[in-house]
Amino acid sequence: MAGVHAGVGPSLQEDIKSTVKMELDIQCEEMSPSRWAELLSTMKSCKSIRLDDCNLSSSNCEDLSSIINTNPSLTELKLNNNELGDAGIEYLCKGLLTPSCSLQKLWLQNCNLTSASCETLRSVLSAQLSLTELHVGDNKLGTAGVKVLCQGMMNPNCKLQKLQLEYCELTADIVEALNATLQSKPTLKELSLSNNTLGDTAVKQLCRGLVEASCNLELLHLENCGITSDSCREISAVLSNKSSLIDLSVGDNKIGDSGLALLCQGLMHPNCKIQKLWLWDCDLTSASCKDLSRLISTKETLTEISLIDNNLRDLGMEMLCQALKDPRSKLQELWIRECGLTTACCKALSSAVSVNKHLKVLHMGENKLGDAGVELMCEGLLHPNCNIQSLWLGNCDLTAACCATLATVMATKQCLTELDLSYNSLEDEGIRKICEALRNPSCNMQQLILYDIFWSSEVDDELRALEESKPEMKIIS
Amino acid sequence: MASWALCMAMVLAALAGAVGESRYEKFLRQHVDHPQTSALAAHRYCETMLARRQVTAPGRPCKPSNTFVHAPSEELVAACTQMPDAMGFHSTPTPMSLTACRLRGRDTRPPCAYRARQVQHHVRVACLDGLPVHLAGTYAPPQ
Repeated sequence: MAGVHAGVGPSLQEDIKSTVKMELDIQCEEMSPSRWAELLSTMKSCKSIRLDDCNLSSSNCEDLSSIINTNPSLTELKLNNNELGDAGIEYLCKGLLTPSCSLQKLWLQNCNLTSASCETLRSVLSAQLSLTELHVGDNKLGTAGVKVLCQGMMNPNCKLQKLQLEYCELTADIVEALNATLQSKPTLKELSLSNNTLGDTAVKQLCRGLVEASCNLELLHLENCGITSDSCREISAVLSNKSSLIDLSVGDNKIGDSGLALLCQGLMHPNCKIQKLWLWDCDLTSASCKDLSRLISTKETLTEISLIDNNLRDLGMEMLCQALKDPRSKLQELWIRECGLTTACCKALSSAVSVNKHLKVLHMGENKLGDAGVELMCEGLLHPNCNIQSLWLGNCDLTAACCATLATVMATKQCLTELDLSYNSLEDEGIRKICEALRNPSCNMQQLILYDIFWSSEVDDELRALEESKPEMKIIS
Repeated sequence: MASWALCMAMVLAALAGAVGESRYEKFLRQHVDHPQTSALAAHRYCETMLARRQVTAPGRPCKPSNTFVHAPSEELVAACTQMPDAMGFHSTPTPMSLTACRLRGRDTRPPCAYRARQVQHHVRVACLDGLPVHLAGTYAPPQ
């Protein structure tokens, strides 16, 4: 990606070398006045600008406004994590309202905006035909503020497709305005209201509105919205009515097993074409696994499911493993981090991965699998049917003892390109075995993740040397 | 501003390449925030700090958990003079103010969303040449 900088920006010389940058991407860099001036001249021709956490303020917005004014090719502007304030937005919007502006994506998360900014944003929404994405999460806009935004969205000029309102201090009262907006906005594809205390009554009302609305919503995120099983019948109705809905997250809501059972009614409906389903930290237990198994084995559209931080336990996992062996299952990503699993379910898992050809990503960290569990799993991983690319085993109570077998998998399975072994006491002995595997020419590892593991200076040098000799591979720690 | 200057120094050190940053400097970058940086909102502390400290970055997976110690680095260096335990790790003699960041159930791809927990715990470190290079864990003071 041209012009990607993480942290300290490039020197002026590098800027001159690549004068026509299409993308400017900077995060966590405090701007000196001279640096800002440099960047401004670069920005004049950029298609996309990202300045995240760069200590920008309202005065920078004046400059940005003229950039927007004079750069008709600018389509993406991301200014997350800068204290722009309401004053900053006023300046910015002056530029956004010029007829030549064809901005499509605007990100203003955590910019210290209040409801006062919403008036200005409303005018942009009412006027800017090109704007398709607005991300204003982490700003204290409140229900009153977002109601004003909704008014802007009601304008026929507004062709917004994606709206992100996480952590906006919204309350139940917002749903009426949202529903009215949804009725009038067939273009809306993605809506995120995560981390607002909406509660069941409001969420049920929202769901009824979604079912009635003509928009073909594709993504709905309602994480940590105070949802319980009480809302699940209505959410289910959205699932069975809106074939367009492919991405649903109700993570961090205590829906429980009873809620999941209700959700499954909608999920299993033939109209439901769900692809990504996030049910993390939903208070689910092994009792949910019968329904989840049916879903995994029969819903051929389902490609990604997150069950992180639910006490599924070995019994529940064994049921899911059966489902994974069903030839109808097209699941590609399974996230079962912190699910209370132990060595006991690893035989079933091993069997599942030796049969399932579709599974590409498996997150299993924070489960006490132990060396014995991983040894069992490796048997399945080595099977030619297994196509797992990305395997996450962080904090699984592993030691040096399982590293020889892991090394065999790394050197044998060319499909395995990403492996996480963080927070395991692998020690020098274990790391050395891993290094041996990495040196093997048939090892295709691209990212080896080793956060928070202690090793000696000698092993540190060995890892460094290895990274240098294998430039296509990164060791992340 | 002072904390930004420190941050910049760290980041500069970090980006001088693997050669430039010592393991101790990396330990400070990943684990020490003193005085505690004030974020705009409490729930944003972890996300902001981990991005500023180069722990999370575009293209890097989200680190599942990370602890920031809000105490002067000297106190952590002093821990290295304490008697090591059976695993060879050293504990701080007194509990310290910490923020424990835990990845929320979402993605391991950025943006990374975290839960923060403030605790007063003893800190266990691994030391090399008298300097802490690894945070082995934390524990509550025995009652």
